[in-house]
Amino acid sequence: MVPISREEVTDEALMMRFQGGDRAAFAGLVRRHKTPIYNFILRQVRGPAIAEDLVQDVFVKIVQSASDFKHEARFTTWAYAIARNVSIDHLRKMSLRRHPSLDQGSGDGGDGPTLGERTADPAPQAAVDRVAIGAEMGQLIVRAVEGLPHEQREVFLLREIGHVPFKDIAQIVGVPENTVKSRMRYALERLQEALSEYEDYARALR
Amino acid sequence: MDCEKFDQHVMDALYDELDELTHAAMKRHMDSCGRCASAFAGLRAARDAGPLPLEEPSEELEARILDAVEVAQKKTPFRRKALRALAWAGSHAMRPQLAMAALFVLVIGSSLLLLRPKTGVAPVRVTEWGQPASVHQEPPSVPAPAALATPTEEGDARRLAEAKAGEPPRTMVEATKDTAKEKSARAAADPEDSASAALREAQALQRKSGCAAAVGKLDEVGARYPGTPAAHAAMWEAARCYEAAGETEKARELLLALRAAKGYGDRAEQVLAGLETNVGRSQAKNAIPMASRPAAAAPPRRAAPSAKPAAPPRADDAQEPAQAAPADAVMGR
Repeated sequence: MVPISREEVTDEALMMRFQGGDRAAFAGLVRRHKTPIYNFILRQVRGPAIAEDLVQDVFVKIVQSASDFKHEARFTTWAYAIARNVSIDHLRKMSLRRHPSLDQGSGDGGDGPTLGERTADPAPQAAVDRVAIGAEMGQLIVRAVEGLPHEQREVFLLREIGHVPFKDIAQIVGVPENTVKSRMRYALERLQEALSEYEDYARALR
Repeated sequence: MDCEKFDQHVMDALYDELDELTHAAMKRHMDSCGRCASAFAGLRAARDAGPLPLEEPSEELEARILDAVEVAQKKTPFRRKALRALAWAGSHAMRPQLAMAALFVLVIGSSLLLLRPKTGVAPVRVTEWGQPASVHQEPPSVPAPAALATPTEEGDARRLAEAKAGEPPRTMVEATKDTAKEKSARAAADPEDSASAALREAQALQRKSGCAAAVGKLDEVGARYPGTPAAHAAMWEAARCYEAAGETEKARELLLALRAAKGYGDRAEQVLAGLETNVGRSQAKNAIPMASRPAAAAPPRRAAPSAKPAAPPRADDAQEPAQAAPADAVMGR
């Protein structure tokens, strides 16, 4: 990801310029936010192609409802609320079509391990190489996150990827701020467990 | 701070959303509480272990997004475009310079509005209070000495005017204090004055153009200034005109109304009696020459018959000044 200096112009200023008809300002917003929004969606749906389609939908929706954006609002809070709605709509459609989502159990009665649990391999057997430990760790975190229950995962992603404050997450998700914080805490504790398992494993390798 | 409070704030501390004071309190608590200290250390380790690695989307995603957005913008409904324009205008309106300018204009404008009406208000108010006062025993409350003086002048002026027959004379104009503005102001202040002015106008018209033309005006004077002597005089004249024109019903109406008026009661009664007999006769004969009618039904003073309906009042006035006396006497009061 190419780092973008946020000090130059704020997202909100770019959004206001876009509201005034400045298309370049919108291109700047796309450049800034396409990767985090893509990752926010990717960790909830199946497959990069779908995630990219949904990111496109998110930005189209941002343009269509640009007039609703108030200059005192936070752009990320507003944009991630749209992104969350887009992914939830998609997940709902998928569940209606009986496509397996990350949270859906794989057995006939849905009581088998979820796709997330299966992908979150607790003991990665392959590529056991000290050089690859950094990359492995990244994969481990991704798997651990994908293994989280949906409520915890979305809070974790909003906080870690979107950098949305807890107060705003509460607003987006529609639950009290304390609930958001406890969901975040559970998510971090799960991550902590996965990491400690991995550390034990890495230590055994040395 | 206790462990419960610590648990409430631990996430805020982890993501730097805590104020310094609470942060310091948490640190102090962790120094004394092993459980909270290790919980915080574990969470911090999980957070720091590595931020979630971000995967890059494909290269062409940005171009795809911009294309899709352009297509969507072309389809943007008018309502949204309008709203966007409004939002843009709103963002400009919020700028401080514009707000200050608007405030300035508002303050100046409102102070001008507040200042202006003061000049014209007072006389209007006097008018409104003066109007409903009773006519018969009205107190000479209207202060203008000119207004007080006019009624007495008016008698003379009227006689002069009648003698000079027709020219809406200077004397009259002088008597009513000349300018239209004053006239209207006085008309509002003193209904009796304006009533007699209107009566004079109507009478002038009567002399000039005859009974038929003036009767409407006379009627109007009677209706507009009910109870004033001038109105009574006008009604009297109108009744005579109607009588002369053969419209006995209208004449009767006016005379009936006049019976109650001071100085007209007897005369009205007499003419009414005459009318009654006239009606009877006209029913019998169907048509009677106008000239013969007053002879039969004339009140003692107003005996002068005439073939022309326009003539009598003038002839009366010239020959019998006494005829004008009741009206003048009342007006002179």
